Amino acid sequence: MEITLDLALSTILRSMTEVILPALDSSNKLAQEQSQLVVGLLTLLSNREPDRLTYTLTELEHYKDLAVKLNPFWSSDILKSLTATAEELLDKAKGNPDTEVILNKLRREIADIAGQVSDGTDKAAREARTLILSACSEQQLRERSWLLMQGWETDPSSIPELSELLRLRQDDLST
Amino acid sequence: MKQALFIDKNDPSEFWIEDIRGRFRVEREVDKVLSKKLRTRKNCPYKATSLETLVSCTQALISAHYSEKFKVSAPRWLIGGASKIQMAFNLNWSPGGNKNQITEMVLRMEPAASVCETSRLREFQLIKYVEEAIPVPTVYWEDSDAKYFPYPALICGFCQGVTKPTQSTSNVSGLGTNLGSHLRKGLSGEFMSHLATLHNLPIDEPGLSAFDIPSAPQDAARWNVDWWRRVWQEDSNQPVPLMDLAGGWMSANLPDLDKASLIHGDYRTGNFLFDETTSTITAWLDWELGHIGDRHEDLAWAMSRAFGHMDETDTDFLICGLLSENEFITQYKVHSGLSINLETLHFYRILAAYKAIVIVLGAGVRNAMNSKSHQDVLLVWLSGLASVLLDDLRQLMSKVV
Repeated sequence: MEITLDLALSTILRSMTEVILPALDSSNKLAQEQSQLVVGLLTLLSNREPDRLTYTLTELEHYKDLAVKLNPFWSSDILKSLTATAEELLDKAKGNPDTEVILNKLRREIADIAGQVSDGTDKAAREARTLILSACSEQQLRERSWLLMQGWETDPSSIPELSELLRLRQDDLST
Repeated sequence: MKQALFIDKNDPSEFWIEDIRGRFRVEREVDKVLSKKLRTRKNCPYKATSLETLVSCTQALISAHYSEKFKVSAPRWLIGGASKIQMAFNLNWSPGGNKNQITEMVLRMEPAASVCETSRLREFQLIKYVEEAIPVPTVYWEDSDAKYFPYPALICGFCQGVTKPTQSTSNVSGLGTNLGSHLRKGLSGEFMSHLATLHNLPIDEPGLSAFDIPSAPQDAARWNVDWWRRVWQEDSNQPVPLMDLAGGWMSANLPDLDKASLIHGDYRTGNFLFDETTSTITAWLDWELGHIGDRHEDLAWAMSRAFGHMDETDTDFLICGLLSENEFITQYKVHSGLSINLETLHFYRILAAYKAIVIVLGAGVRNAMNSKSHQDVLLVWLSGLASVLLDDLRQLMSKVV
């Protein structure tokens, strides 16, 4: 899916600064001020988005370290449990520094395979095609649910809630 | 171990451009515009152009072709499409030595890169050629080499009419328009008869010099498949396995052409203007994807789920919000006298879904990433349509693999 936060923010900003702001009535001070604030907040989010995950992980590490240091002096079962969970999360995050990069490489490799088996007549090619089409169906349903509010669906009621689809997937993985 | 070669699509090398050109066979003029797009991709974002600038450029273009006195007035922005910058204006002039008159006109100019990268020369030639057979805007002048405008442009007449009922709502670019039962009855006959007329026009004409005519039986399908596979290769950001599956399958299963026709390339509701009171089509718009090819292509494109909706009883899907599939096919045969090969139609339905995905998910996103248009925010919004189109493509592919 291509509607990413950074792309959406950068194009919204261009639209605001190049089309909408110049067209605003200069005598409407409230609209002028609020649109400048919208641009300011969007700029802040847009500039910081690339570092958002690292920032969150750094903050998590910071509080985890503080909890470890506090432990000899002022501890609780909840703090100990949360510290352990935080350590687990940080270990996982360090093991997977860039989920997006790995995801894209995996998509590329599978796309190459899809191209190679697209018209093969042997059993392996046929099986691979069936698997790829079946997997598409599941992923596409999640994407359609993610984008449901855009209004492209002819029968929106047939699309399950995103949270339900994500929960089903997690249930499948854990069984 | 396979050595991955890193390609920066935002800064394509000449080596990569030539490699792509060699791998995909497309018409000469299509190759020209696609290659130019790649060569101007880096560091050439769209520069916002004011109405004042466009008026000056318009005056310069008209002066080069019209020696009498004239005046351009009342310039205003138009919206409606996802690809071109459009300005309406009034021209006060005396065409053909007649008495002074005011003609409403429209300027269509490309942005730095378009969601549909096409040739203004071809658009100009095609509209000019079909104008006596089908209602279209009158085309006046073109600037396909951007001699007078910042980007290639053409000027045509302003046509009266609407693309959707005044009181209705739709998504961007006229997608999902519901015409209502009254208009549906009135418009569907002309919708089919205009298509039939277009497909029966002669193609070997001097006025269509920017178009290549298919000679081998599979040329039409190959040029078309290669066109959109090439754009996907050039523009796509995230790999999509289904697109590689469909692309490979199409290239290996090209149908033969039984009759070469003029193809509109984007024949659907949203691309014609109509008069609400008489329920008649006043003009067909957006000829930029036009070419010489297989009539099944226009039929398949119109059948896309993105352009239609269910009828009031929720039993039949209405193609372009006008006709059921049975009515659509029967009426086309009656109006055109031409046959429909259902296998060929299915091939072109796969190509139609593939092409639409290339446009919204490939070209649209790549252009927005590179700040190439005057409405990047619309292109990002439109990329969401790919979720539905990919589902269509999967369903169509599952019937053939």
